[in-house]
Amino acid sequence: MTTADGFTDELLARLKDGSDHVLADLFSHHRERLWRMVNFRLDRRLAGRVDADDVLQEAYLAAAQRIHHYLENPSQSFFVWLRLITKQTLVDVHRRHLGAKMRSVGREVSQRPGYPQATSVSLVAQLLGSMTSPSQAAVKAEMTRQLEVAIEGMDPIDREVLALRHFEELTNSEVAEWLDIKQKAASIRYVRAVARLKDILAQVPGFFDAQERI
Amino acid sequence: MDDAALERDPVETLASDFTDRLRAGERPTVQEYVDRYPEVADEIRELFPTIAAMEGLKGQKESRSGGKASLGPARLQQLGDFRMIREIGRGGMGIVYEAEQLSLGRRVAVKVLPKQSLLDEKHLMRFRREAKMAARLHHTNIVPVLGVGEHDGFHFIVMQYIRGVGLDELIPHLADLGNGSEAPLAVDADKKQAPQREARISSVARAIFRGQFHAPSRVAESSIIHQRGGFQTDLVAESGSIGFEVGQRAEPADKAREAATQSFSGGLSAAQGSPIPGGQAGSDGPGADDGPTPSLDCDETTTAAGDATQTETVPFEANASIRPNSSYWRSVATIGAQVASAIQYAHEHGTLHRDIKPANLLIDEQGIVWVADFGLAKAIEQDDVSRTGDVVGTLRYMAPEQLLGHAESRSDLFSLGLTLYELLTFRPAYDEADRKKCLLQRSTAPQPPLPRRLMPGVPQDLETIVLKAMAEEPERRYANGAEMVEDLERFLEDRPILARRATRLEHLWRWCRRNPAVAALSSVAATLLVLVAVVSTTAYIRTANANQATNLALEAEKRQHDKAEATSDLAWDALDRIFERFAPQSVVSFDPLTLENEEGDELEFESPAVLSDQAAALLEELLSFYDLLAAQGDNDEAFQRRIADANRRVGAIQQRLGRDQQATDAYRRAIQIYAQISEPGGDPLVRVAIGAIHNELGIIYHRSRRLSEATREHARALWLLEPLAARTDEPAVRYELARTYYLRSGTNFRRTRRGRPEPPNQAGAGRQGGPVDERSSVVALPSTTVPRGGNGGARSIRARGPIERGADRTRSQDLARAIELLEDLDDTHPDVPKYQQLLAMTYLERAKHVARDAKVCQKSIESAVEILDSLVTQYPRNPDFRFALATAYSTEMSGDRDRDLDVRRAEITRLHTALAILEELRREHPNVPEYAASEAKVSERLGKQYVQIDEFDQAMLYFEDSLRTQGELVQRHPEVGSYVMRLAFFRQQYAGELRRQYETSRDPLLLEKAREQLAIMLHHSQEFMRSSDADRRMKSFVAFGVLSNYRAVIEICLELGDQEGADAARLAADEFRKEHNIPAFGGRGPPAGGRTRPSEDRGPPGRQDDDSQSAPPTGDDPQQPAPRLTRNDR
Repeated sequence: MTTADGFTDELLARLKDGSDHVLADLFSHHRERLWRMVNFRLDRRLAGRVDADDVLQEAYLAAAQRIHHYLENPSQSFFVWLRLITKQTLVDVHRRHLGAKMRSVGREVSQRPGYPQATSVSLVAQLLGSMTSPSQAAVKAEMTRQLEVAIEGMDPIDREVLALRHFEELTNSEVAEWLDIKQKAASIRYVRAVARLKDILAQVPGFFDAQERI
Repeated sequence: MDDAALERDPVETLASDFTDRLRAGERPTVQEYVDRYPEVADEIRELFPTIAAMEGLKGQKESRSGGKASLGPARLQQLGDFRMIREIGRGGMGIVYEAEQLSLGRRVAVKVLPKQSLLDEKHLMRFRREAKMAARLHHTNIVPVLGVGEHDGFHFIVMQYIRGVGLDELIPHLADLGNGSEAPLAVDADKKQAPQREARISSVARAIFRGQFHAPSRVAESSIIHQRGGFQTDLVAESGSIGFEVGQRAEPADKAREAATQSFSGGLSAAQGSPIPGGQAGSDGPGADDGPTPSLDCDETTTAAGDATQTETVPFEANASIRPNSSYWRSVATIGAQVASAIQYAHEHGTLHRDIKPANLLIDEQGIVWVADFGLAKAIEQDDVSRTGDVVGTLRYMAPEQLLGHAESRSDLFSLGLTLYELLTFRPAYDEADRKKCLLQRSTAPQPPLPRRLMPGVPQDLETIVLKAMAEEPERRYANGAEMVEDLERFLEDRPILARRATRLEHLWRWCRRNPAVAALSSVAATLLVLVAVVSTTAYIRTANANQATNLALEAEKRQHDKAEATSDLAWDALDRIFERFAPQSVVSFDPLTLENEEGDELEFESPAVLSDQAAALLEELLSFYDLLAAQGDNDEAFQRRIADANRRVGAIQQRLGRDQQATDAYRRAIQIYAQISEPGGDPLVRVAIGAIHNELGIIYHRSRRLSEATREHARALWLLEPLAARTDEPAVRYELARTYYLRSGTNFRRTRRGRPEPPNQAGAGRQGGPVDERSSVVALPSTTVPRGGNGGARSIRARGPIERGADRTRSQDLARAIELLEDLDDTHPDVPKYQQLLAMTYLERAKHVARDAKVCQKSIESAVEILDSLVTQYPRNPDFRFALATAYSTEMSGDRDRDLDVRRAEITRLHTALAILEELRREHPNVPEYAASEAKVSERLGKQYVQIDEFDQAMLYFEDSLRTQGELVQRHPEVGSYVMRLAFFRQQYAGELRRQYETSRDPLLLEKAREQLAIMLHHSQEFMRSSDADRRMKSFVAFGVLSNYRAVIEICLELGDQEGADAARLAADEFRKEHNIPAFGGRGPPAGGRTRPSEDRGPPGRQDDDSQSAPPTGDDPQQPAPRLTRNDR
């Protein structure tokens, strides 16, 4: 498996030599995007208790413990592997803090099937998050409801593609790898998903207007 | 780009590019791409704005995750000249670091704003302008702004570094001290506070608590003129950065601080000097914590407020605690005065703070309060589309007008008021979630409880000051900070304050009037309220009477009179609100329990309106007030109406308390007085009142089954109201008229009875394997169930006489008239919830009335649901509407008797909806018995529905739920016979269901379970029989139930091969017969049950809900119609 990034390749090679700070370097190289993933998927109920930095800290330790597994059989690109580790850490954190209440997050454990709820709720939060001000609060409640319904109606994979591309900043090839689909398929899906989302957002009165004012 | 890129969707490739540029901080336009790639122009136009929106939103979100600012993924080490040392705190607006300004080698605080917060030039301009304004403020209690800068796209504000502690961090410590518990390190453990910082916090907290910070006297004077020296700003840093010079700072501020320091160290050293047994861990922190920190442990006996001597010389005693005392209250006042003076100063310089809250108030080690972030809220504001996190983060302290977008100088004082409230009570005045909800619903927040109620030691004057500052209406607050400073200093100097004490009474009234949850009123508050009301009202009457008697109309007395009248109006109004809150609505429909014997005689037992103890107690309080009022002489004509009103209220309360005779008497008196003041062409409302009272009387009669008298009362109401409605458009008239029709339709309600189980040969059919055949199954076993009302065929209409048919017609007409009136009212007065609610109830009534006509029935229910649904949306907190909505959902839609699975499933869905609403209601109002009763019923019906669709496992769950809920209800209200009986039926139903299931599955466990249920039921029933106050008629039915259930137990035992058990049951049954004097066989009904005489030998009475037809559980003589117990929602 090659990575898109020679810089990482080189680091990977050094990693195999086995020095600790290399992992740290690698991790911090990807830190931004991992942070985005965590920030995006962190359950809103945990706000104030756990933040993305805490999760990343934990994920780093987990990665350090399991790096040799990866090196033995690097079937994925390093980033995708790190993302997986981080994701699992995130699930653990949710489980720890929310216990039985975490079903919707839990369903997202596996890489592939069933992204449902978690992504759509986060999407709505992302899309409307910026719109709260006292004067807009009431409007927002209604919009949230509408958007939730609409986004719930989207194809779960489309939803996930959008989240990965925009909120986690994955590239097309990484998305393809994560979802285990061809790059071409990933790109087509992406274009289609944006179009769908646009239709949905266009139905929310004032959404694009509000955006323009930001 | 690798090879795969070639296969990618070309638009996707462009989108990637577009996205990358956005992320790099460029501002690529859509048009640019359109121009460059005309072949995909349409797609670009279609997709790119959405992409841009998503990217923009991401930034928004990241910058304020969890309501706090975040700088996104980056971690800051250095911003130009500033090296970040550590993060001090996060607010909605930014992250504050302790930093070193390298060029000057000094410590500063740097507040870094999220990148996204200043996106365009306009915002940036405002940011600079506001920061500049803030930098011009020089006041002892305002954190000086030294400059602003920009680096790497981050905008930041440089401030003087204050070695202080935020009040938000102090409050938990103060609370611990106040509660006498000592857990200083546990408080913020999760924030990973460094131990020495923690120690510093607790040392400051202790100093405040002990009043060791009373230093800065005459803050108002010392502060305003002072400028701080030594912090020349020469912040001209990176390219693109902005800096500005801050004018010369002069000396005096330092002097002020010196003075403060001296006084502080005096205080602290006194504390330090004390020996500390098992003292606090010392601290290596700077400043105050060089020595051992003062101990918290003080003698509890020094608690009494006003004991000023204890401050510094408290005897230390391990594990004893202290309570907030006068020293602490004085500290709070001192803090308040400093902040108020800072606010006053800033206002004079044209700057509002807009975000006063504990986190923005720092206390340094000299006890000086520093207000941080002056004007910055405005600086960082972004038009309407504003700071999510920030708004959320500080909502709690925002003035109501600020929530609506108009901040003014008094808004800052309001926020200060809330902060002081929190200092006094150790809890926030408003819950943040509540505030948010209020905002969404555009309602006013309930007033927080009075501080002295939470913390009795709070000095009254201080409470008055704080309440005045945090008054809801700006006009009622202090006009400016100076006035507040003045009052706080008066308090500190033990001089009388200027704020009117009277605001306390006003506050109480306002609180009562506004608080939607008067239900939470404590009995103390209620008593106080009633007391005040009685005093003020009787005072009014006395003046009124005196005036008349002596015929003195002096101006002064008139004023007195007016004032008394105003107060009593206020009191009256407040009490009325309490009454309405507690008294169940008179719109609520009856829910009688009906027993019927084989001759078709029916006995109905009305469920009394069961009040929670709390409500009953409160109503008694109110009663004393109205009684007193009602007993007043009526020599003042103008006052007669109020006396009539009072009598009416007495009637209503007595009615709610279940004392029908007293209620009737009071109502009659009220009618009499109303009649005296009613004159033709006079106020129609008086007649409406009379009509309404007749209706109440009708309800009372109806409840005690005196139907003809009930009809007569409603007829009287009609006689009054119909002509009135003809000549006036007054909505109250039309409403009451509609209500009369609605109520009268109830008296003409003849249950559309289900047919008797005529074809006896179906008895043994059971329902194994076959399609759902209700009739046969109903006959076969006692507990087959079909939800009431709807099960079409099974509910065949009994042949009825002409009278009944006439009544039926009247009922149709009444309902139609009520609906017509109410629909009309709803058109002309669309926003009156009361009208809508009655309309919905009338629709439901029609649904029951036309149960045979599936279409109309369904339509009626849907209309009711629609109305109630919108009421609930508008008034999500009103439990009455939610309860009505649940009722609507649980009203059965009639259908054909061979309803298919889909219909049943739909029914189940509706019941689930009802159940969800009821569960929520019960969680919120665990003391309202009606909610629990309804929940139990709905669960039970769900159980029955699941049986019908052969999902027995599900059914069992719901049966058990209903037993549990009803069981809890009975436990709480053992005196309510109908609850006890209903529980017994539920058990019997369940047992029957289990037995029937056994027929199919042959699982003996089912029988065991059934036996257990029956045993419990028998036990309770016998207890019920022994209780002296139970209704005699009810007893007679219970007696038969007991016998038939013994029979069932015997059968089960035999089936299980438990001969011994069977014998025991036989023996017990015989004993029971003897005890209650019931002939064994061939006898007639028990002596008590005069009207019902089913004979045992002809088949023991089974009984069940009206939904099911009954048959003896034994099935040994199913032909025999047994007395049936039916329940009906009239």
